[in-house]
Order: sequence, then C-alpha cells, then structure tokens
Amino acid sequence: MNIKEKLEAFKKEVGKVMVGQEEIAELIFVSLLQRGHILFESVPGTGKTMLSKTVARAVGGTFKRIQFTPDILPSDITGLNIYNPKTQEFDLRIGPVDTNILLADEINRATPRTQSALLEVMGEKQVTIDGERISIEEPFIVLATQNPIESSQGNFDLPEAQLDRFLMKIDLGYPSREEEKMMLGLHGHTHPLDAVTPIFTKDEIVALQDELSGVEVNGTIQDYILDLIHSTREHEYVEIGVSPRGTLALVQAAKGVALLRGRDYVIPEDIKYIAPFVISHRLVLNIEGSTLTTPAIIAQEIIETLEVPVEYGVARNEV
Amino acid sequence: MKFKADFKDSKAMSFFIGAAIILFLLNVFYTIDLNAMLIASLGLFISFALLNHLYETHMPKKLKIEIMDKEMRMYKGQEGKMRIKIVQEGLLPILEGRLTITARDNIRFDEEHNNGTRHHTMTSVRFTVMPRSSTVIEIPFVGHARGVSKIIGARMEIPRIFGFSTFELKQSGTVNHEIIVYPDRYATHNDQMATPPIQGSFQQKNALFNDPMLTTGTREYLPQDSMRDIHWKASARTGGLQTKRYEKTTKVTWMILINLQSDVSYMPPENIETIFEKIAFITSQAAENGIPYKIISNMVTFDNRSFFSLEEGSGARHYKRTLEALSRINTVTYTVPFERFLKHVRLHEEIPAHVIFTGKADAAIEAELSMFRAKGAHIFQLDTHGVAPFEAHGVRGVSV
Repeated sequence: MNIKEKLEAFKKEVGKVMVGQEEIAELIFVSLLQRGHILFESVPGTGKTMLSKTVARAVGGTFKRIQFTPDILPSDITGLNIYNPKTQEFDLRIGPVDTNILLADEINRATPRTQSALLEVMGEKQVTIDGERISIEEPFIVLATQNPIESSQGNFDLPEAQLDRFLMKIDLGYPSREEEKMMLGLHGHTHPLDAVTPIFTKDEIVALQDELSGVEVNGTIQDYILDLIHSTREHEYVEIGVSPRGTLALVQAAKGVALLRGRDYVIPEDIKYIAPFVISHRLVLNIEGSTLTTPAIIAQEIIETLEVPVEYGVARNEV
Repeated sequence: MKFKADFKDSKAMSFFIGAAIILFLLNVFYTIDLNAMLIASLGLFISFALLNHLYETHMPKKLKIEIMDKEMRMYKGQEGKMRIKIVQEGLLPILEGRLTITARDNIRFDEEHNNGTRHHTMTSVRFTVMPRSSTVIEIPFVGHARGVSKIIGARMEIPRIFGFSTFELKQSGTVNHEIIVYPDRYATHNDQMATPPIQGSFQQKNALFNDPMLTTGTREYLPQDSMRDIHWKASARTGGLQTKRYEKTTKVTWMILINLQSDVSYMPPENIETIFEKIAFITSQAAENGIPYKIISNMVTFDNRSFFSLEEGSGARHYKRTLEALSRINTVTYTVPFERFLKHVRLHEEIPAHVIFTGKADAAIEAELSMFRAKGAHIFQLDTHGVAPFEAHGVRGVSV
C-alpha cells in the first residue's frame, strides 16, 4: 500500500467517527509522517477527545491516556521509584509515557510545572527518573487536547517551550449543518469508535519517515521559509517569534504535504497551506498584540502579505 | 447584512409615464394623429421604465453584502479599516452605486458627513460591481472614544441602469459587527503597589490548599494519606513510611471597585473617563507582573451577578478581557449608591489583600471601607492623581 492509499484508508477510518473532517485527517496524517505531536484545540463538545481516540486506534501500537487535572504531579506522568520494604529496594514504575500513542486529555487543566513533565519525553523520547535515563520506544506521539482559554478558572496556559514541541495545533471548529445532521445518523446504537481498525503498524510509521527524506526543498523555497519565519520575529505585535525548531518543523510538514500530493519537491503552496497550523501556536504576542489580535490572525496576515517566489524558481523544468 | 428596497419614482419618469397615458387616452377618445417620432420616444421611455422596474426588482435578489471583520479591537486614537464585501451573484451589475454607513461615534470615519445626529458618524463611498463578481470596499476610521461602536444604519443608492435617477436599498435588522475601542492607558503613579511580588512584601493570605511542588519536610505516615504523598527516600532512610509536608499556597489579588455614581447625582463622576484610562494602565501593570485581579462596578446587571463584574484572572488574556469590559461599561446606566454596593461586595465576595476603589469617599463609604480593612485588606484609592493608600476621615478624599 503506497502513501496515498494509506492516507485514503486513514481518512476512511477517521470518517467512521468524525464527519466532514477530511482536511483535518490529512493534517494529522502529515503529522504522523513526522511522528510529530498534535495539539487539538476547540470549544467543548466538538470531538477533540473522540478524534484523538480514533487516531490512536487507527494508528495501532500501544495507547495510554492521561486525564489532566489540577492536582496531577510530574511523577504521575513520568513515573517514580517506589521503595519496596520487603526487598528493601526501590522499584521503578514508569508512568503512562511508556507507550506509542499518548492521549493527554485536557492538558491545560494541569499546572504548567506538571505540563512541563512532558518536555523531555516529547523532545527527546526519553524520561529521566531519579537520574536514571529511560528511552521510550519509537514511535512516540502525543495527542493533546485543550479548550481555548477563555476562562481563567481551572486552566493554565501551556508553557511556550511545551507548545513549541507540538508540531501542529489544529482547531476543530464546529461542523456544518449538513455534517452535524450526518453525525446524528452516525451515532446510533453502536459506538462508532468500535468500528475503527488499525491501518498502520508501528514499524510502518517509522518506515514512512524514510520516504520523506527523498523530498527536495530547494534554495528558493528555503529562503521563502526563512522570510516567513523572520517575519514572525519582526512583527510589531509578536514578543517571541517562531523558533529554529519551528523552522525545521515547517520544512518537515511541508515535505509531508508535498509527498501526499504526489510530488518529490516542495512548492510555496505546500508551505502556505501548512504554515498556519505549524507556526500560529509558536507565536507569543506582546501585551498590546494580545489585546488587539490573535496569533492565528497574525500568522495568516504574514503568510498572505509575504512575497511568494516566482514559479520558475520553484518547480524544476516548469516555467 | 440584509437590505430591503425602497423605491421612489423619479419625477422625470413619472412625467413621461403621465404624458404617455394622456396621449393614449386622447388617441382612444379623439383619434388624434401623433407624430411617429413622438410615439417612438414615448415607447422608448415606457420600455426604459419597464426595464428599470425589472432591474429594481431583480437586481437586489442576488446581492449579498457582508462585513468581513465581525469584530475589531483598537485603542483610542488608533486607525482601522472597515472592510465590506459586496457580491453580485446575479447578472445585473451595479454601476456607480453609493453606500452610506452610519455608526456610533466611538469611531470617526475619515471622510465623515454630518447627518445632524449626535453620537453618530456617517460616511459614503462609491462602488461598482459587475455581474457575478464581487468588490471589497475599505472605509478608514479612527478610534475616537472608549466604547463599542456598531453600525446603526446602512443604505445603498443605486442608479437605475436605464437612467431616471436612483433607488435605495435600506438595511433591515441588525448587523453582527462591532468595533471595540479600548480606553487609552493613562500612566499613573502606584509606587506602593509596584513592589515586586516577594514573600513578605505583600500581605499573604494562607489558602486551604497546599502547593504540591514545594515540599517543606516530612512527617509520619497516616492511614488517610495518599500514596502519591509518600516520600520514598525518607521512608527508606527512616525505615518507616514518611509523608511529604507541603508549603501552603499563597495568593495576592487586587480587587478594583469602580464607582459609576457621582456624589451629587445619579450621573457618572465628571472624570470617569480618566479613571477608566488609569484602570487600563494599572491593570496592564498587573498583567505584566502576573498579579491576579478582578473588577466590579456598581452598575446593576440583570443576571445572577447583580453587578457588572470581571472575574478574577491574570496575564495577557485577562487583560484583553479587562479592556473589553472597560469598553463595554456604559456610564449612563442603572447604578446603586457606592456604600450599598460596598456592603454587597463585602458580604458576597472573597476580600483579597488589596482593594482599590475609585471616586470620592464620604462618611458612609469610609465606614464600609473600614469593614474591609477589618477583614485584613489594604485599601487604596484611585483618583485623578493616581493610586494611593486610603486614609480615613477624608485625608485623601479628593474629588474625581
């Protein structure tokens, strides 16, 4: 099965549960190709957790879930050494991070210090417990959900370093009237999640990554990406722009889009399509900016106003 | 945005139609000979009238007008652009139409027309839309005064395509669009409150809760203790289970109480806009320093909160909500006397370490504030001079 067939199969599986989310399924697929972590954000009741569970089931591998609450501790995530009085030794108990797919549900309900417990494992695929380094088996993908932080009660903004480790932030939004009507029919007597079957093995996900290495990003496109990134750092309302990690993430995500569209080279449209999902959550606005606009609007504004390289400088053998 | 047509026949058209009817009747009753040119001209005019009628009735059916930015936010004095998209999905164009917009004068259009109405701003712009195409009109404006500006009325003057003056499309219903103009931030002195949040600098209030990140030591394990609280290393060292002890959480919050009632009448205090600007400034300082605050005013609301209030919060997002709340406060509204309001707050709200009130303090207000002080709060007064610790008996009873 080639990558396009995999994508169609993935969309089909997601479609069994989530109606009309084809574009989002494609974005998730791009993220899976990178083994990137995804943050789902939308208002309550739009299916963030359901979508995460569907993705986890479609991907296969081991799956664990952490329901974040304000009293959860870092050791509840990473694990800890527990003293065994019988043997008079410490037993290592690794937390739920020891899995392939980790669902971090309502991640912004835990305190930032607890959220930070995921930093090491998300970035380096390892945890350190009492000085002992434990590697987590590949692939390791975090699917996190959060509600938009409209109310300050019981919610904590994710630290910037944590946000930077998510490859994409995807806003689910409301379904259209027609989609919602279809959804009413879909959720009948049986739970639609039961019908979802795995379409990847964990080895396949690792193997798909190799296909991406063949996608070319030429110098003009690299300059375009750098112009985009630097524009975020120089915007009047932005305090902290996109990091170099974000630059790499954008390149990788654009490669994934190109591959899904049957090309072995990236064109500006790939970047324009994927950039809002990769860069908006990495922008930290200054206080004036945060009162007047949103990171998503600024990201869109930068993408729309930036000069796009001309066609002959992008696609080989095409003028 | 929905429009309904308002047809007014042009005088020239009415004259020609009248003339045609008279000539037709003369021809019926007296069989007069009409000049062929005259007949042709009248026929032409009648054709134009019929075509214009078809244009007037069919053109608006597939015309869509939408305001592209449903919500805009700006500071007083900032410039903005209202973008209006006009889409003609049908086959009938609009040539040199004129769109007139009237909005509340919290904003001022750059090319403003005087319509003689107070608190309104009005402007007109010409546009052309070809069949099955769209155009975007940009109307520049500037934030003029704190508040929320909405479009009150819109009308389009559309020339009849075969001449004979224009007809009008008038906005019907309301428009889902608003421009929030934040108050300016008026720098104010608040040296006493600008102390960095170091333990001991502020009055600390112990909460019931522990901070699980700050352990202060251990104690003997008790059966009801959570397994998560066991200090395993201390347990191994002592040979018996030890439970962690945590630091008590502490909290420093500002409560800002806005008096919207003057001490001499039910009208707002004279310098209330300056007060809003100073609140915008001190809350920006609080947001930058991560100090949580809440705002309550003596403006009566008809929900379960009784008074207009902004829930406690901190950071940039909370500051955004603060500016919006300050913009939405209408100073000409139902208010209650400040001392009654203070009593309500004292009885129904958790009183934080710092309470800042605005306005003048008479004996009744001072008496209520002394009850706040008895609950352990530090009282500050915000007036046009800045924020200062409040001294009873009118020492800082400066008029606002």
